[in-house]
Amino acid sequence: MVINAAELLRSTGLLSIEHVLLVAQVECSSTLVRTTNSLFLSEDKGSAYTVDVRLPPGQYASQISASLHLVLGHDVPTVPDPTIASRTGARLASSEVSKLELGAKGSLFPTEALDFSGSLPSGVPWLMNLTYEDLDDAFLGAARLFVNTAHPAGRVALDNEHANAPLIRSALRVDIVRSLILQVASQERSVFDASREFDPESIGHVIASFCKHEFKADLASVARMITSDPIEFETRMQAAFGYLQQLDGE
Amino acid sequence: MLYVYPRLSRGHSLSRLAEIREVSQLDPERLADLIQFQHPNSAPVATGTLVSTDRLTTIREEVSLEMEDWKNRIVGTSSASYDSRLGTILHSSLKIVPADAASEDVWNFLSLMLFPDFLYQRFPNLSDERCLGTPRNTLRRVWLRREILGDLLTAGSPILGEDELVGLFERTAFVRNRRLVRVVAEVVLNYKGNGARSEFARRLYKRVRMSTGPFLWDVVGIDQIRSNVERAAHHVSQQMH
Repeated sequence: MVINAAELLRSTGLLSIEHVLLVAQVECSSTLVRTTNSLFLSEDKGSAYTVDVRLPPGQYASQISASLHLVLGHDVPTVPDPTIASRTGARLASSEVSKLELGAKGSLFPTEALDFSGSLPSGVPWLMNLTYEDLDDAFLGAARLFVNTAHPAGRVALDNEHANAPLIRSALRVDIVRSLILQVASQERSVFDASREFDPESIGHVIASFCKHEFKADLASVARMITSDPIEFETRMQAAFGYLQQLDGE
Repeated sequence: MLYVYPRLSRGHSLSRLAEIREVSQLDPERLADLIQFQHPNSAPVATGTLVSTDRLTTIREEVSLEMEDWKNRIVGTSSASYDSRLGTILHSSLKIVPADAASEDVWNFLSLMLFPDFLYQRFPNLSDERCLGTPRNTLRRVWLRREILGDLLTAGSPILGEDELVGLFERTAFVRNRRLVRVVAEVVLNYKGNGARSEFARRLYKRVRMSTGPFLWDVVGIDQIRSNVERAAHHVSQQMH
């Protein structure tokens, strides 16, 4: 990281950069672990700093988040102004958070292919399951698309080479979005806050993104639409996803 | 030595859960008959020492023995005591790699194959969120509490209650600073002031969490963390007078 010492002092009001600690932080929301390492800035070290963080084995899973922070490394009792940070740990600046997927499934829709002839409803080609506690829960952990390998349409949806795959998948996409919004609307009932912002890659974030792009509306409005005007909802969704537009041979 | 465990996908788990529900409605005593140590569709992610079937059998025996006092009892209002004991024995017996314990599918396997009777005993309605391996799973959440709080989970009189624990674990960013969360738990356990301890805890959590915005507690020494939390506790106590 490159630190502009003069700018740092000007913007924080501190008298020396040697009070300041550069902290590298790596954390994991799945295992609830955080690892940090830090070093004090110094007039003698120039402007470029490197902080290594060694992660303990077996402690991190799914996704890690990394960020850098400038904080006060010790109490500064003689600051000239009470608005200037003076206590150990006071945050002066934080970087954007960088996320890294551990494993290869990060960009794929969470899908599970299996024969439904057990206890899942056997007559359906697919089923969208959403199990969550809060809309800020990670989408990849909460959502699961089950595709029925015993159903002809389920098999086609899984077969990239099949001529009817685009047609079937257009129906699948409509079903996924409808099902997600219905489940959220049902679970959240009237507690929606239209202005709420969701954590990146959370259930709320993913579904709100669908709503924003396909309906040009927020999640709360679309959730209301699905119950108050289901025809409008269905029509707009089918148009947005090219429902059944790609017939074999056309 | 730590182990990695077989994983059972959500689809297969839902089928298994339906079977468990059916048996629980007919005769809950027969849930023990459903205990199995393998599933044809389960497999571990081989990133460590794979647990053996013999070891799984031992784990089942160790947990059952430790929870023997609870056999045929209704958990009811004693849930904190039940959960703390279950979390403690699971933690010591499973010896699971923490990264493996972050997998829904691992807890699917453990809950639905090894401990279906414990699921029913703790949450007789056998809801998806308590039986599937998602974060509110019956076994997963008590294991995690033990992992993070250690001996504090069974310390104090009374021990930390359900409301106090739920509040403590509500914000995961806060829990990731394990030194801080343990100090906060200690201060709650030592509370001797006026009013309900759970109300004190609720207010203390809120006050401490608010301070994690302007302060990065991870770089603060343990003595100073304790001093800051005690100062916050004193402030909350004053408010409760």
